[in-house]
Amino acid sequence: MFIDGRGIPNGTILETDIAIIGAGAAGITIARELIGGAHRVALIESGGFDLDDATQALYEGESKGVDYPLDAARLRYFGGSTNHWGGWCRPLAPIDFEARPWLPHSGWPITRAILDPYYDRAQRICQLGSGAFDDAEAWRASTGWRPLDLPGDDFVTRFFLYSPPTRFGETYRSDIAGAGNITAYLNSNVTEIVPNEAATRVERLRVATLNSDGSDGRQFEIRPRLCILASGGIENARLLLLSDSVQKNGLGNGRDLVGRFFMEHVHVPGQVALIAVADPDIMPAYYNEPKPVGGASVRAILMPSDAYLRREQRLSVNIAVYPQRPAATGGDMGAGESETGDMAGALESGILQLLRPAQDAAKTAIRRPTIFGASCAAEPVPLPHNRITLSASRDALGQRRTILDWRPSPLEHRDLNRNMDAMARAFGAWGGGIVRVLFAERNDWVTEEIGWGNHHMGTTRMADDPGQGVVDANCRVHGLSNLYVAGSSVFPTGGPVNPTLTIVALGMRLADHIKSLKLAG
Amino acid sequence: MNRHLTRRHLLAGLAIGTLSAVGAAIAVPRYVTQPAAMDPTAQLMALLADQPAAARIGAAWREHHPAFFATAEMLPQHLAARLRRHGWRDEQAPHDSGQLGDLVTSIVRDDFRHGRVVDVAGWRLSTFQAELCGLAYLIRSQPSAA
Repeated sequence: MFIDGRGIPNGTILETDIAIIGAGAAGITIARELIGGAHRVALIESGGFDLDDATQALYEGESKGVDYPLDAARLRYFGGSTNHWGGWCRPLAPIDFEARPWLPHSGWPITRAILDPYYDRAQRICQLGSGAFDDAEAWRASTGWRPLDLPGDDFVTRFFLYSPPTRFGETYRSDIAGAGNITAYLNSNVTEIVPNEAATRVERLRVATLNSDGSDGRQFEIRPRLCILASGGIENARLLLLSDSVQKNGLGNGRDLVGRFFMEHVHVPGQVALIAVADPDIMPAYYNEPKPVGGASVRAILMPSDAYLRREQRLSVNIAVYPQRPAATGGDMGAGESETGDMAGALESGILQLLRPAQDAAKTAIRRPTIFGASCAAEPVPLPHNRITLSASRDALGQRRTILDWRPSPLEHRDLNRNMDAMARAFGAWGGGIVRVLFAERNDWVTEEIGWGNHHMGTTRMADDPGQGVVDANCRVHGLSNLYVAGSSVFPTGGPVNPTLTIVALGMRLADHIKSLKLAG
Repeated sequence: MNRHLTRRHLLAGLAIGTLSAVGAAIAVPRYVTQPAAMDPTAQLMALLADQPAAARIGAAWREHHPAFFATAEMLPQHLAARLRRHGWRDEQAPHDSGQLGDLVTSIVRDDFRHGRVVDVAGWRLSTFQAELCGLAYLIRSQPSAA
């Protein structure tokens, strides 16, 4: 059942067993898992079924460091940011969960093995059509394509599966509507999570509505026995910080950890490298773009191997390649010239002939020399100074706005550069391609190198030790018996891959945990 | 081999003109017209279908790695030595381009596997590839020998 919060009379008090704040990938996943159970569930969503400018403007905030579009990087209506999701899915690797000496603040309190069964279920929720991922033989059986045989073990082919993408709000709306034990409150903004005086358990949620015509909205309360905060990697931290009527630094923030360790995957705009190849057909088609294989949509990417990461003590990265243009040849280009006027471009035709001695001449000819582009998403470093805080300026509900201070670390820059060198060596040793690295070696980032993936992680990180994290291994906020957090804000590290599949898997795991609890009255 | 590389010396080798595996989009193929010279570096040059383009790479390499070119006069011997270490036998010359190409393939891959890589305006080349282009640059910039 759906209820528009704008029609609820002022001062109303609603009681429920479980309140879920936010109806994005995490919130809708958890709600669906609770359908038909013994618990009454309130799913509380700030927006309606469609984008509304006034509601979306509640996301506006300020940036320090990187000039980050806080309002455009996420969506505030039913389905959340899945409404503009690209659909890239891949589980985090086992190494991503490990404490790695070379990566500060790394290590999850759970292993990949614990998440494995939930990843299996999450694949269905995300409509992936297969769970084969890195089973190259499974893809070969249908297509005949083989991964590039890059020698050594530094860089290897891995696979993403694409969700259609699943728009959670559209795809699962009917499930929510038909669930007898679930009530979804739309246009209802939780403005504070209020605990008891000892700040040991949540007692009530203050909810306000926003009228787009500028008139005063309604205010009411929801009193849950258990609360799950699932409003996104930035808003989860913001709402805890805003919930300061009892704990003055914000709820669950006794150790000043809420909002810290913000992470994003740096996506360098454009390409980080070019790859000159003798013929585009040497790159199997699933490298170029997602390809339908069986019931799935699969794309091959390049990643450093675990062995390489351990040996070199590096951050990871994922590299997607795509055919960009025919290569310049001697016939198209005068000496010292290129279409871009740069020297490296002017060298292109000379470079291509070097593929001749680097290839088996009898088997490979340069027929259609092609330049592939390579784009990347780099593993972030969790650092406490990258954080969400509250601004003095206020939104239309009178709530303090977000300040995001995000500055990618020099370590991320260094390792991305070194990883590009490793990829270049792998292609060179293979012999089928020569790499031009476009990502300059520097001590730190320059503004024009920094793009992002709209992946907001780490601001309520998971750790067994309350001194190291906001939530425990079950995603319960340390010190609060009935407050849980869902979503990528609990990620202690972000790995090099898109977070949605892991958000869904963690949501299903949390739902299983909640179902196992005997809720206190 | 003469210690001082002369244009005539190297051009003699360039006359080998082996069948190029590089397609017409790169350069017009050339055909064997002469027995090969004994100098392996000369045969190496013959592998380059577009020597001016290779020379541009060599020039760029020189610009970024001037220290190496302080010893440029040793480059032919250095390349020849590397070929010999990988199995080239002077007495077996002439080799066809396929045999030499296979040898170069082996050397280049070995360079990349062992991290012997140089940066030429962003392009990551094996040291052998860069030296080959450096040699092309030297030849083209060498005054004609008397």
